Amino acid sequence: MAGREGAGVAVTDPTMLPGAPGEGIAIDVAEPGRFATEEMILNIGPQHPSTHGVLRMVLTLDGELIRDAEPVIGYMHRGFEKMAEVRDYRQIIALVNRHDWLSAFGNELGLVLGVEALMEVEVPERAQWIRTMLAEWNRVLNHLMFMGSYGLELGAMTPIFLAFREREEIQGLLEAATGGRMHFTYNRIGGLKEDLPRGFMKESARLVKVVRHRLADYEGLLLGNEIFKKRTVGIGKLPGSVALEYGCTGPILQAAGIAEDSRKTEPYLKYSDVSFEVPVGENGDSFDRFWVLYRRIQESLKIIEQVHDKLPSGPIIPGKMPKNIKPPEGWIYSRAENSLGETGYYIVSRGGKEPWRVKMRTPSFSNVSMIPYLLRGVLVPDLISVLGSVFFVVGDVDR
Amino acid sequence: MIDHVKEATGAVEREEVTPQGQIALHVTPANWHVVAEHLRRCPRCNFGMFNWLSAVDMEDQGFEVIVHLYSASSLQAVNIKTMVPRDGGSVRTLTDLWRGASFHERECWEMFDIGFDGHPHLVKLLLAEPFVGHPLRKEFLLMTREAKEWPGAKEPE
Amino acid sequence: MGVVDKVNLPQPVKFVLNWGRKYSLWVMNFGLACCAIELIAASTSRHDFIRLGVIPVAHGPRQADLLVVAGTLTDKMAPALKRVWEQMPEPKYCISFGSCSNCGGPFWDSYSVTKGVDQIVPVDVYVPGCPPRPEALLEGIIRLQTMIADESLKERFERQHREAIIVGGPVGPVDLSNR
Repeated sequence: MAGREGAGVAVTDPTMLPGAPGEGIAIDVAEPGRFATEEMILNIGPQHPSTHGVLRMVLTLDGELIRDAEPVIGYMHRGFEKMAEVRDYRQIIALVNRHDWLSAFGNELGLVLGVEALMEVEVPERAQWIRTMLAEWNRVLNHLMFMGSYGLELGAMTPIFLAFREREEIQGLLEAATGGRMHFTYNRIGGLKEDLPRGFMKESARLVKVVRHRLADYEGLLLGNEIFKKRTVGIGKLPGSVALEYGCTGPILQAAGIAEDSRKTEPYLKYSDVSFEVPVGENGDSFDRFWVLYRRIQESLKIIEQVHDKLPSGPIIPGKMPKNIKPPEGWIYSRAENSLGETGYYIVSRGGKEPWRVKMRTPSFSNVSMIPYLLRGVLVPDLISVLGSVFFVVGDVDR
Repeated sequence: MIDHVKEATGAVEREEVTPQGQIALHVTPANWHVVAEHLRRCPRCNFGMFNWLSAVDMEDQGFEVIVHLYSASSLQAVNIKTMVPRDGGSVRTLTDLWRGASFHERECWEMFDIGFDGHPHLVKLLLAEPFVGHPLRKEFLLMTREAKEWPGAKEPE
Repeated sequence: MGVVDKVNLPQPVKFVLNWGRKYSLWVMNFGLACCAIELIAASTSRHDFIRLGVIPVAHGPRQADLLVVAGTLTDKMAPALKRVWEQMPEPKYCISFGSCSNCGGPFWDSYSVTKGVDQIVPVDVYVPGCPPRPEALLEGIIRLQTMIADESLKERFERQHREAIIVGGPVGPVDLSNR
């Protein structure tokens, strides 16, 4: 439009403005910075359909630009660490699978690995292979959920229905083995609760093929979608060194360019006997974080297939496990690469049947502390796409 | 690596290596920041990842504050531990070295009442505003358990 | 609400009004924790509570008439729940989904959990479980709809004592002697 780029120029092209021909409305286009604007504080309250659960954000806005963002957490703080001090180790397994409720198996794994290392218990081979397989199924479950819900936040209704279609089938598989759809409580100190049911391996092999085939739907619907790409490429860039400073782990760190994955750097269970890749993103933006999730599902399916081939037979718990678990005095920090990042447990034991202190290092707590850094300078419409791409579960943040 | 740190800072009181191979460097509260700064800045150590910070209630001895650091380049993890007194104990904040320390220190303060000098925004993080007390201290009892004993408290044979 | 809650309506009118109300319950998702995932699973294709008329797209509490509290309610979150409940227009119903919102659940001894949502809002249906299966939610909704079909609004507002529906039947005297 004529005169738009100048400052204080009247636009009088009559063919473009209302009014009689020859008349026009004089518009004064101000130069940037000439008007003083006030900052507004906007509260995205704890109950909001687009945050993953009860996270409250207090934004300081200048127009539509976010000057500062402060996440207010604690709306799901249930006091896990205090409750763990009065429960014995068998009860804590049932307690800890409720902080990251989308990948409950991984939570239990970190805990039992720590206690087993303290007690120097030898876990049987079959139990370790089954744990590897179920941990990877759980990772697939978790990532499918985030792929679906990220699409929902950006306005796509279909991916979440597709994600839940897959999730129902996988949950049915895990329910056949563990008895629970979401909170499995399948691990025991020393091994597993009971052996897999008959027909499990066949069903698991069938599901791997089904999920792999259906994963192509997500690629078409989201990864290749132009609207999705426009909303996520280049938004919310996170450099690798900053991510490390904040303590981010998991898919977010891998998308930021650092290939840090506990399964590779400090292999536990049978991860050193299977071959898989760790996907590393290039730019560290929202699209990369989503892409890393997609690739991680593919790698997990690869691992599950390898476990199918290599699963030995044998016992699943050592015969002489005591009923009262009393680890010797000492401390240990044990970690597992859970779906959202590194889930670690710092266990201090004083020889009793209850631990003296269990510190739960949860990935989402560190990931959420990074949100103010990501959101500075972002426009409000991009807030949803950035917030949704920082994958967190509120139970994990608040414990 | 431990010997290098001891030499470079001269501030490590004692080191501890558990049977599982995990390393802890015990320091005095005054040297807390010194050792952490060395581990962060020294190009040989390069502990760029701040993993977590917390405390353990050691009853009469005080609170043991622990920070766990990780180096993505050398794939090594180390704990730094120090002992602060029960009432009024404090250490210097680590937020100038790692920005991620901020949330962890806030949580440690509200759970244990350990001060962190120099922290920019030491307010309650997880607990509700009207909450009184510091839950993870051992003298803070869970009232529901005091009022009613857990019925399943029978031991299996 | 005018005359509907002040007089005993004649049966045909009551039937039609109740029929309209029970088959178009718009739900305000108050999904807090793990039970929220089972709530979402109940709304997706396999279990699908949308076919019962319960649509989860209430854009805010003012357009909803059913509140499903799914997950642990903490003391920090309780004022927000109260505010959302008060914003909902009458007649409104509440389903407490999951063990945490029924009675505190596995966190019965925590220092920051509200032991039971019924301390804050009046509950019509309790769905026990940790987490309950989506089918349990469907049963809860159907029993709620049966209750709505028979109710008279005048009685609902004047009644002093609330008789809640418990999916799975009420729990009788429990033997805590640990066998």
